Amino acid sequence: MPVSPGLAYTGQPNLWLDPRAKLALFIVVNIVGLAAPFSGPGAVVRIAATALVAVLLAGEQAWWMAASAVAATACGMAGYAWLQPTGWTLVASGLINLLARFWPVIAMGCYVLSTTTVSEFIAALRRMRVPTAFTIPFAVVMRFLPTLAQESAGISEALRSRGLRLGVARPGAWLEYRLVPLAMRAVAIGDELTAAALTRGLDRDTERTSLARVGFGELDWAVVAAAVAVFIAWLAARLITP
Amino acid sequence: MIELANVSFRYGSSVVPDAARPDPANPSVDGAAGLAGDSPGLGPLVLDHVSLAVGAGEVVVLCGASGCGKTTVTRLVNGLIGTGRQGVREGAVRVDGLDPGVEPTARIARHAGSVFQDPRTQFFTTDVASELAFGCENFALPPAEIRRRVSGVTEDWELEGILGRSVFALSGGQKQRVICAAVDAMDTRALVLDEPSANLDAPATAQLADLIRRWQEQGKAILIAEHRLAYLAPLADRFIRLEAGRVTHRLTATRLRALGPAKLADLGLRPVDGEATEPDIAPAARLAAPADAPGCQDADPEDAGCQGAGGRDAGLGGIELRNVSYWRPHRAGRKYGRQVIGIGQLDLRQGQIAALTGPNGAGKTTLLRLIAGVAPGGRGEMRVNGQLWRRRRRLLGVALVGQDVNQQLFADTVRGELTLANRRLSDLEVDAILGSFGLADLGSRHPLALSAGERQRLAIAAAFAQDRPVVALDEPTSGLDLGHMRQVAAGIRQLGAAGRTVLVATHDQELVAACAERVITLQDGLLTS
Repeated sequence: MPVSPGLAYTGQPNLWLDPRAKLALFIVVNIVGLAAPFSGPGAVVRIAATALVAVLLAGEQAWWMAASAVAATACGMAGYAWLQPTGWTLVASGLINLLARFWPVIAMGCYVLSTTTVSEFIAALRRMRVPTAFTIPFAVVMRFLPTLAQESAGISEALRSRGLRLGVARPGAWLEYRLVPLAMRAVAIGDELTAAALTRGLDRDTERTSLARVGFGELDWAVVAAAVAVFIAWLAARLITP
Repeated sequence: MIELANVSFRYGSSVVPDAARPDPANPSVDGAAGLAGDSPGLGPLVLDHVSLAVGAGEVVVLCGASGCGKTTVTRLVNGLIGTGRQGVREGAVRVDGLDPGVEPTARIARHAGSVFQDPRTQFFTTDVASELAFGCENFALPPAEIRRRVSGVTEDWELEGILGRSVFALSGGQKQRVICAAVDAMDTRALVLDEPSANLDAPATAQLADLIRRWQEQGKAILIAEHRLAYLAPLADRFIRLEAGRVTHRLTATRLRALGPAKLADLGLRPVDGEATEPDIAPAARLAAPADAPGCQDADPEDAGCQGAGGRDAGLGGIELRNVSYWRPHRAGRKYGRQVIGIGQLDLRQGQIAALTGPNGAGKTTLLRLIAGVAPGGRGEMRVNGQLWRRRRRLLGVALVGQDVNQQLFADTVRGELTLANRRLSDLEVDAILGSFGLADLGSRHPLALSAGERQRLAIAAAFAQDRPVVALDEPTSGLDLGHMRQVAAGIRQLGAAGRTVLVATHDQELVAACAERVITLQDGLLTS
């Protein structure tokens, strides 16, 4: 199934991975993507991390996302090598740098959210002994955000259809027509989701079982090993770089 | 199994003094003392000495106008309203012997399953398979048992095809089916349904009726709050009509039917016979049915014909669609997206009111969004009054009243909503529009403080105020009672009378009968009539 640039689960992935393996890789991609340099030994680590992200995305046939993550990294390196940070190129190289750092991380985030169900997340967090007081609100947020995004899209559409244009010039109007209705809907959605969860027997204090599949296979160990290797390489690159 | 004995209820706030709270565990407080007068910090009396009992294998339907207290009853039963800050209850409520006012809601959930109206906010997880298992997981059933139940309901509800799907990729009707299946999997002894059919098309409603019958045969106690009565008439044991929190009628289906359509309408109830189960109706044959449909009398039966029939009107105004198609944006791994809309020719006379019907997921909403210019990516031509309207022009020339009116009201007063829609309106014109949509007394209220029916009418009034030649409405009456439905129908007829060409996407056959001059049926994005 495709990976969408949105925040929600999009369907059964081609390649199933344990959520914990995905989280481990996500953390390493975050560190390397944001912190590793674009030249020297650190750049090799950056290329390795981007390649991992691209391979996972390509495995889900998310060609555009995979290609854009690779392209962003390549642009970042090219920009670092050829753009002199003076005058207007300073702004350009700054923007390219920012995009090149963040885009692979965002792509990885989309991959994790698009391929993991809420139940898998909850089950994985429980295995990691994370308390219910954290996992349940976390699950609610995972359900709430895409719903709120849908609401927001609906409100935009209604605004456009009504011919209400909200420029940057009118922050008051933006607040009144955009944010207030969205906030009202957010409250209502929160109430309704809570009601749905309670009447389906969700309770903080009771034990629950789970059908969600969690468990490490060879592939998961391989992903974790790759993540750890990239992380160690990043540490090593930092040490040997003057 | 479900029992209410002399239950009165007021919604309250946290400021209610402890002394005013009856102790639900102590039956000696039952009686009239606490709730008789107006207590400080409490809202009006929502339920007034309501008693009812639903035994095993019984189906009891709560009906009555919006705001009559139906939903409050269902929430008292499934425990969503406790007795603390949320309000003050008198009288006893028992579900399987437990008091939902005292027990935690999650414990009541093991005895009473609940289905609500809005399918978008009933999912806790983001994929179908997890949602089916969610309730059972909360009951801490062994995984093998959960798997057995999930595969059982998957088969019963024909969900094999969508089991792995994301919730966000389902249509409204599919979502409601998944919710029903998930509640089915929880296998509770009692069930509480609050307007479960509001978002369902005719086949899905029939499926819901089948499920209710199956639950009935399994000996479950079923309490349903509902406006659409036709699909319940063959299986309900009793209909209980509430008005302003009081029980006014207790009738069997036979006696309810015996009242006749006129008497039913007097009671604010939707028809009991037929309509919901008929897949297609000839609009011309129905036009005479509702007594309060004056706008329909001038309908020309010939216009009830299908595509091409309006061809002779070309050039006289109205809408002409030619070769309109829309492909869902293609996704990774597939070269082409799915075709959602494919319409060769569709003409609507100026001032004509056309109902757009068809099953859930047929492309009705997509077609309206294309016509209104909010959806990018459509192909083909649309002419209005002979002029070619491209997407930007349609955005300015077509008023769209979308499915969820809560997303479409932006001003802080009802009057403001109309002036926001059209700044050139004078005070007198605003008054006139408010009056004609039955909102005259509500001018200074906040739009979101209105009832569902009033909000819907306000959204239509705003579309009217916008003064655009074409108006597109998407499911304007889902979840509305008979009175509100008729007001909306009257509003739509006003639009037509003012020369606006109106296209209404709806499942509501009663709305079709009350306002449409022509019915257009869409199936898999193609016109079938």
